[in-house]
Amino acid sequence: MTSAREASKLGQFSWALFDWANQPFFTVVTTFIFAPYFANVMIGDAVRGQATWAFTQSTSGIIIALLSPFLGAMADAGGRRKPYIFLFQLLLAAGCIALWWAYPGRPDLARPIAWAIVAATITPDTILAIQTMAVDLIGIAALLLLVEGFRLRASRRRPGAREALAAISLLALAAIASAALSPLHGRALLGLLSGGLLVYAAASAVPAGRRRRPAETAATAALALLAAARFAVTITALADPGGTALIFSQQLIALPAAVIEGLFTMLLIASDFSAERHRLVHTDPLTGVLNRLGFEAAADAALRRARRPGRPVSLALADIDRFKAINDVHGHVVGDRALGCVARHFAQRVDEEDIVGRIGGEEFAFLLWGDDGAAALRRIEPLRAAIGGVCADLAPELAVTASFGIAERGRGETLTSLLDRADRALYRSKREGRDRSTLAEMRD
Amino acid sequence: MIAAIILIHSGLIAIAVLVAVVLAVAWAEFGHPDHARTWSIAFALAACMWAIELAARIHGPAIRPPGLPMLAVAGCASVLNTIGFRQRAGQPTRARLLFALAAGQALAVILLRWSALGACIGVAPLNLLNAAMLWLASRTLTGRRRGERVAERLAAAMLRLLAAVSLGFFLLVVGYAFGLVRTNLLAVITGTLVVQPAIVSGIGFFTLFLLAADLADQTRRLAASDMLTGLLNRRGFEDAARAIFGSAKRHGRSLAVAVLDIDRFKQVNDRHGHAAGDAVLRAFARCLRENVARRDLVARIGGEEFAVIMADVDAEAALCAADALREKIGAMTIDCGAPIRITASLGLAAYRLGEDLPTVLARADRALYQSKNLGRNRATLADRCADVVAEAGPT
Repeated sequence: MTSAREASKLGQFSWALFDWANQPFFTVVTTFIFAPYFANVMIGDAVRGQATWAFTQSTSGIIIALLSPFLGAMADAGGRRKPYIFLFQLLLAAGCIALWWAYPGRPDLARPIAWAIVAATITPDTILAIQTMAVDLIGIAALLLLVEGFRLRASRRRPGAREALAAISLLALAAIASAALSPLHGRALLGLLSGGLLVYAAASAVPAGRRRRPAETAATAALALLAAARFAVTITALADPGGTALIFSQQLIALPAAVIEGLFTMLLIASDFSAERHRLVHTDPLTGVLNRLGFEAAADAALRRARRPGRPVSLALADIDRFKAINDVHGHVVGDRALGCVARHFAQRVDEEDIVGRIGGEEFAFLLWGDDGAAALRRIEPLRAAIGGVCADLAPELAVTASFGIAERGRGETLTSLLDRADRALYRSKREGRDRSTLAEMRD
Repeated sequence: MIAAIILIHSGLIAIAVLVAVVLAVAWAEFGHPDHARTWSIAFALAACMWAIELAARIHGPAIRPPGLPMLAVAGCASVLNTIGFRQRAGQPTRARLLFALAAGQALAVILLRWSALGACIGVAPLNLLNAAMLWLASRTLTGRRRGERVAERLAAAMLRLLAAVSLGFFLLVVGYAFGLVRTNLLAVITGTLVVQPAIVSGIGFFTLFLLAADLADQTRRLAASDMLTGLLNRRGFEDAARAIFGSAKRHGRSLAVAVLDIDRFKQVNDRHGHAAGDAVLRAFARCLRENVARRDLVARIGGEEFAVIMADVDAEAALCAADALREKIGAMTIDCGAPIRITASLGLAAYRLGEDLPTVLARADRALYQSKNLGRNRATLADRCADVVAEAGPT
């Protein structure tokens, strides 16, 4: 049982704790959260294998993000400069430099930040003013890095001078604005700026020109939510003339923000690995098109997904004629190259929603959407006729031809049965003298 | 006060829900791994637990020991988390035993409430259960498995740290109940509350980190291995060989590279079909792996071409080993429809200090060519190649 006296003591205690929680405690929690990132940067175990530069970048951003509240605590520490602050700043600067050193040419922005911190450390006067501003600016810089990380992941393009220039001018503008405005308005501006950056991050979570994965949808939603929260907090808190509500709620939002940014960054890293694993299992390394497993999985899924009744779909099988002879006469290297050429030719000449795979040694399969048997035959014929041309450069007197078997899908027909009918049509093409296409009869 | 409690609890609920959602997405997207689902359920339960607690505190006294429903749900969440770790490691989950422990924990709370020790000890069994579960979870990450990774070591260290924190709270509460520790109980309860976000988000992040690390590991292994035989592929072989050559150069070790080619493999394919050819390749790969030393490197570097790097052997020993290998291959019968017997030709090259992989491989290749020319089913050492060619040259 708790007495009233104890309860009031607890009240004081927990408020003190909560106040404290905004600063070093926050750092402890975020350190916990981001320990894996530290590990990745320092030891480079799992994620470095394919670490996109983007994630190194966002890692450096996250490190700064979690250090900035600590710096804030220092700046608030009674307005007097203590030796440990000096030490801490030196360590921070050393960390940034080490990060930049360990990844030459990668976190470009870590370098100017490190030097800025060093400069702030050695300037004797106006330390406090610089520190207070530095805290906000480091927060913004961290967000910039995070956004840049997402953007890089989506576009796979290294940032150039233009991006660096944009980032630095944004930082400079923020610094000038927050210095020129009243403290309250300066903070509100920074809040709006971080909200805007988060919107940009949310928009960059999905690469253009490819179907979004569930992880990316989730990341976009979470970041957009966070941006909305930032806007809402800033706008509502502006009504408070003292500005304490703004500072309080901005600090309150910092922990969930760090959790969201960290969690979804990690989820996207995992998602990229998962996609890469899927690609490795489902594609044929020699030709780059789907392998048998990949074709069957993709075709099966596509057939099951096709709910729209009556939309015709056909399956074509192609087999390169006398491939063994090509290998024997021209050697394996030419044989492999011919396979690659033919696969590229096929992949280029079908529609985007069609599926092409190499399902055997010299056997390819196509799933052609929107084509009944006759239309599929009309599409396949020019494809077949052009095969000799695309392989002509590989070796003198190399004549590559292929035989095709085409089957239109009957109502509710399975992939196995479709493959079987196309295979029989292909066999007929072979028997009737190769280098031709045969259409299988419709199933009853 | 109530505001602080509401804030911390809502924060906890938000974090737990987020982690649960993220793990659910991971489950859906990464090929439905069971442990991701279990972890997701565990965090959803944790969110429920704080929701229950928050409701109780809003409607009842703000400061009080945790209620029984919360303790029961918390126990289940803790157990589920450990079950997830056991599923990930492929160990038997022992779910019944663990849930019995969670039930025991709740029962212990009821009994302790009636005991002379009073309500203040209420949270102790949960702390003990948490410590035990976290320790069990950390056990799945370390130990007998070969080559445990940095990610796993890091996660294990984190789990042990959290187990120690839980145990510390257990000892503190028990010490307080028996009058051994003079402290403010409310401070202890508040402390527990404030450490919770760290523990929850810590576990959440490390579960996700392990999922990512596992995927990374599988991806790396897939990229380096040959799907048919399970050996390293050419790329994997080159990467691994580079490391071995580097270490041989630094430490002045001796190495030998053997290149093997199945004799007349095309005939197997022609006569028995591609399926039989694949079976032969698989059997050949198995035979290689079984008959070389554990630390030797075996890879399939071409269609029917394999390579072995033998560590710490001189040319003579390597030739002996290669001959033994060749005999083992010749003695093997592969049964797929019809019994098939195969032979292999080998080319060997001993590493000379300062040489790189392509040079040694080229010498081994020339020796292999020599073996083929001399009638197949034999092993030739590259350094003797020149002599043999000189002798055989004029004829």
